[in-house]
Amino acid sequence: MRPGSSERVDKRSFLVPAIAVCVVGIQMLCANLSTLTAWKGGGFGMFATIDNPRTRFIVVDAVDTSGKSYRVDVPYGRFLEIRELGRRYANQLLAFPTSSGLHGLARVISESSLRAVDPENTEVPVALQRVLFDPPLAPLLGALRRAQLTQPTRIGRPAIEVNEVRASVLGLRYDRRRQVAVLERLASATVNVTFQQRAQPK
Amino acid sequence: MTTRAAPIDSSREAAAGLTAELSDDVVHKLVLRLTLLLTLLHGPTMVALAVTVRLLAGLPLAFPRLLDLRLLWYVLAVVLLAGAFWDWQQNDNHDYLLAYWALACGLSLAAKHATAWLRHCAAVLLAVVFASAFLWKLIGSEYLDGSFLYFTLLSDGRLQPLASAISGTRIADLSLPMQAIAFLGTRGFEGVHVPVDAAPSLRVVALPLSWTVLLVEGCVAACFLAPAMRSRATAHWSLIAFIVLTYFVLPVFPFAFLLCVMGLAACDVGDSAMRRRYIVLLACLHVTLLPWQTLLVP
Repeated sequence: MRPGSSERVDKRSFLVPAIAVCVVGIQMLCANLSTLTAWKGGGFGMFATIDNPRTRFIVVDAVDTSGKSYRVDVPYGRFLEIRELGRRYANQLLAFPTSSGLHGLARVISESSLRAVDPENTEVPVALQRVLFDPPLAPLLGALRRAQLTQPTRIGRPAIEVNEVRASVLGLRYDRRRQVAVLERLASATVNVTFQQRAQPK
Repeated sequence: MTTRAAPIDSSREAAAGLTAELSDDVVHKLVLRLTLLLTLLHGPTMVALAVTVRLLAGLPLAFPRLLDLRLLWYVLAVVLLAGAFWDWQQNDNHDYLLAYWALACGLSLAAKHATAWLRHCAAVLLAVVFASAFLWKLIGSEYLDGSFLYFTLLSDGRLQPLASAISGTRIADLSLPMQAIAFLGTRGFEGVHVPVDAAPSLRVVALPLSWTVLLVEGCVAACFLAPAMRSRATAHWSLIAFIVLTYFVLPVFPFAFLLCVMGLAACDVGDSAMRRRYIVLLACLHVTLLPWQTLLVP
């Protein structure tokens, strides 16, 4: 028996596809009008865009009271150690970075103790020396100041007096004409540290 | 005194079983069981849900009387849906589809003609899935000129052996752009351009392959969307072509398995031949679990 006039379609069989259509519609709106990646959210957009959580990166910058800027090392694994955050939070920021989500991260970092660390090797790693970065990478590495989250302690280097913390997510854009890839800021949030917060022991 | 049943002539009866008509009732129960098996083996791994889901999926397999228990299917669907949306930032598309399909299986048990109900639901759901994927590829600016697939051939570890074999470029060289991007990203260097030209010869492959996948997806969506087309072989052969073209190269076993189950459910009444093709394809899918790509690495 072939489907047709002899087999009436139960309209309730459209219910589940209708739910799927709603979810797809919401996901497409969020991905095209905001920063949701096409790969998440149930929109069946995987394997359609280069931008995906694997090509996104969380970046945190801290500015001290003298105006010096530090790039804070917040590796993925450290998210588990930061109170109020966790791996799920990091995944959310990567999949759908929003100002409010990043504000939460910046606030937590601003309330933490940061210490400057030695600058890393300014030479480009051997494996990447064949890559023609534009602009060249060596000057950027030389200018990079780094900081790490640390426990407050009296020994060792003094903590950085943080004036401002900015948390951002970088995403990958592929320039088809020039055949180059470049990381661009998708979203960011800034927290200014008040005098009272700086005065409080951490 | 009980008498023993006559021993089965296993080869003849097994062959007869394989070639026998796959009736609607048999297929409906088979679809339900395969769905539960998939859920049991590849269900959510989130701690809060994993045990619940596996119990709900495993019990009907162990106790067949529970297979038709609608409440069990509704609870399973709700738990899967909750998991899919709670862990949205981690889940892949097949996690959502599995939740939708579990709900469809449960609702089909309440229908007057369960198999026909599920057949129609499977066809429309397949149309929605493939139409969404097709639309995404159209509106994503990197797909139509092959850029996305070219980039994926360079960066995806599952495709690198194949890309290396095609282009003659070492895998370490193919990985260079992605390594550079990761280096920049972990240090927060935005605005630095990284050339993506590790194997230009791959572009010749990437463009036709991109369009082939796109056209097959469009064909699947169109065929399952149009009621007159659903019963035709074109719809099912397109779906089978998509599964073979995609998942034997880029394995995502749960998604491929689920598409086969849905395709099986969407087969026309009495179309035992096409039903058997899906069952055979399900078995062949297990080949994708083998690391055959390592054979391409010198």
